[in-house]
Amino acid sequence: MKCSLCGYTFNELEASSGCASCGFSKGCDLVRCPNCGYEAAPEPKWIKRLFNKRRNNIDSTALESPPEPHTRGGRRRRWGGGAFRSPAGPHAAPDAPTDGIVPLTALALNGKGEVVRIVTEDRNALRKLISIGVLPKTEIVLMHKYPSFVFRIGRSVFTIDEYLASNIYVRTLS
Amino acid sequence: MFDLNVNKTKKSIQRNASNNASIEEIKKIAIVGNPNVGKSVLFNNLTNLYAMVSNYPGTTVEVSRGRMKTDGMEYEVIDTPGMYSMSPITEEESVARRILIQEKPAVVVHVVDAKNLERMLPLSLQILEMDLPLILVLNMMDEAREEEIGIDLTLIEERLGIPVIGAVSTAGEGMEILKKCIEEVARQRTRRYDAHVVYKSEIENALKDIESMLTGDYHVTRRSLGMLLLKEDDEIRQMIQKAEGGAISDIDAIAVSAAGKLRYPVEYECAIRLKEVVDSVLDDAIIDAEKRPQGFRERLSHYMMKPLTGMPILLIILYLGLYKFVGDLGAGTVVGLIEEDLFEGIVNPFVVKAAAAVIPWEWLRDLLAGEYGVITLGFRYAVALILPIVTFFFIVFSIIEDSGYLPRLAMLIDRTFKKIGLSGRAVIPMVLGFGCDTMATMVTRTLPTARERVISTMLLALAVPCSAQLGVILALLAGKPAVMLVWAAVISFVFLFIGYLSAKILPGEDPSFYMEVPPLRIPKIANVLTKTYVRVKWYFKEVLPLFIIASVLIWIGRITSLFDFLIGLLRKPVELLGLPPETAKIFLFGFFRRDYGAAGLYDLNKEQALSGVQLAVVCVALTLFLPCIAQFIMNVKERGWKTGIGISVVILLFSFGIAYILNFVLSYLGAVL
Repeated sequence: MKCSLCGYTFNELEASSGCASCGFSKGCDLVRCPNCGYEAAPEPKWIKRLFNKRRNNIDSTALESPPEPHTRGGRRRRWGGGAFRSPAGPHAAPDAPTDGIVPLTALALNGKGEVVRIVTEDRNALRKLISIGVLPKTEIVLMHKYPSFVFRIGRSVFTIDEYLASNIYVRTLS
Repeated sequence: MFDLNVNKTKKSIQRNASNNASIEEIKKIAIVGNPNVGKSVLFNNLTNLYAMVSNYPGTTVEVSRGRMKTDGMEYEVIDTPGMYSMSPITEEESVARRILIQEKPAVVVHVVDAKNLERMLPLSLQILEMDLPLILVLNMMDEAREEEIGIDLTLIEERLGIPVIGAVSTAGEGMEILKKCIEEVARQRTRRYDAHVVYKSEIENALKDIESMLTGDYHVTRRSLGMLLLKEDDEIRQMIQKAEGGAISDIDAIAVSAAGKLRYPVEYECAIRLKEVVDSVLDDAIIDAEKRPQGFRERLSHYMMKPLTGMPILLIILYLGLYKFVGDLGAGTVVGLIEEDLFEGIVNPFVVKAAAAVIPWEWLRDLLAGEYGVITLGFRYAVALILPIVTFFFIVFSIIEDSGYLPRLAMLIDRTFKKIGLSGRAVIPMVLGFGCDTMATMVTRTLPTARERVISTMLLALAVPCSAQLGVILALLAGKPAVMLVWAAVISFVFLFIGYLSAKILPGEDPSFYMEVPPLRIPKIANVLTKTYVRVKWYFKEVLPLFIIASVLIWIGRITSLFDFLIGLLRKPVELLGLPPETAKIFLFGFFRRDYGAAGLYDLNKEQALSGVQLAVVCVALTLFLPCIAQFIMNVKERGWKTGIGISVVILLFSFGIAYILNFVLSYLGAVL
């Protein structure tokens, strides 16, 4: 979706961090822009469907700007507005890639990609992905996108949910 | 006389020797590796048949231990739960690691899938960092050959500096070499792995600092413990804190400062480095023709995971497996044969006659062979009704389990399960719950978060009917599709609604879902039968005493008129549900076990046919009814008396409530089912 305040285009799953500590995070449906921290209602489904194809095409050439590292339940923070950004210190999550690189969720079906980075602040998610061998330079073939993501690494097949898949950034291979 | 003495001496020497061996402590061999690489088959190959399966102390994870004998030595072989890395995520993984760190294994056998070396070797390197004597077993070599993957074992052996053995555990290939190798490694620890992986200088410096601070006595290298401390591993931190006391705060400081200097989290940096090392170890050692099987299995697997084709496949499996095989054949034909022909026709009349002839006291006759007698009712229910149904269910479950269908089902259902606070992983205990809820409640402990465990335990107790119950209900409703539809719709609604509510109410993060999808395999008959046998034995052992106790309790209730009093008490609520007063008895049975009640219902329906609406109402009430005594005891054990009884009361009221509403709605609509 597009942020109505700053115009930054982002995936709702990537929406910003910090909600885990918010007491009101349960049942909060607002989406927080990762760029400016502005909260808005999520995009209606029909708009998503209408524009998704076009956006994916744009996304696959270049992300407008590096997305923030993802956090679990990231779109739920209600209080403490203003730009909530994770500390850009050296211990921030693996940084976000840019050129020609897409999250696994945007890779075409049956498409092949090389993992570039795992972008997440969620230590558990990172550990899970490492444990199944999702690491930079690993080749991934995406086999299914719905209802869950299924991909092949070498000769093993794994299934993960959309949240974990959105943490994996790949470079599309032919 | 002289000979005899000699023999005696020999015997006593032998006895002394064996005593000494047990004092010396028997050497341990730990089999480790990812899930689905054939560890258990290898374990069975190495050990004799009598494996001890027990919970690892302080956990609910099962670990098998067996004995392996070679020429002069006896070893204890431990089959550890599957682990992906040294940083555990699940309880099973931490048990596997605990065995490595604390049990001082004389040999560690790391079993890997020969087709997936690249992904599995990092764990070997991590084990080597602990300086544990390691043997690498490349299993499933046959599949690797089939897919034209050439592996140079000698080159890998040379580069790693440890024995590397190719094997096909299912066919016994490589087992003799492995046994010899184990013996050699266990006898003399000549090889020491000193060429450890070198990480970034920030990590190396921190490791050196931490190593110098660790003074305790550990079974693994200080370096490997330091590495886990850098990865902020809670369990290891607690262990070190116990051993080192105050030094832990200095170690924490080192870990924080190292993490501050690094661009990425330590585990990420290390994983990347390990992958580089593995790549260099395997460079030129593997020739992969990149030939991937593209046969019927792959296509079937593909269709199983596509919602459009996957859902019909699921329905076909449910229809054939549950409805046709368990319901029709198990609960219908086989129960009919054993129950009606064998028990009612031969066994019961014989027991009644024999009791009348032999036993002069009426109370004892009543206890053994009366209407609710131990043999005529308790034993009959257990053997003739429940046993066949449960056996048929476990056969189906073992086939489904061994075929590799469950992870595909988990993948299909994850999105829906997320709505009720569970991940696709919970599909395994849920499906097993259709066999035995108590067994499934134990399996819920493999779920990663406490929140998932609580939700799944509750759903199992409330809305998942066990196979005995399901079998009887399916048999009752076999000719009445409309009633079955109403029953299924109400139960599914309750399942989803209660799940949704608890997901909203219970605190904690939503679960995330990841799972390996193993290739589809044709289940081996021997495996299916063994699994079925083990499960049925477990179930029967638990069920039979309870059925007999229930019979005795009912008997006591009857001679003290407590039984009649309770039935009288239940009569009113049962009438409220629009049911004949005789059903009160079924609900009383249901207090002992849900399936006991279902079995009673089966009897009642034979004597006096219930109307469609009445059947729907009573089946819904019984499905949602209190869990059996075993599950109740488990609830009380885990949550305390107050909560345990609280849950039961809520379920009792809830099941009657839903049944009441259903009866009201159906009667109001004037439905004839």
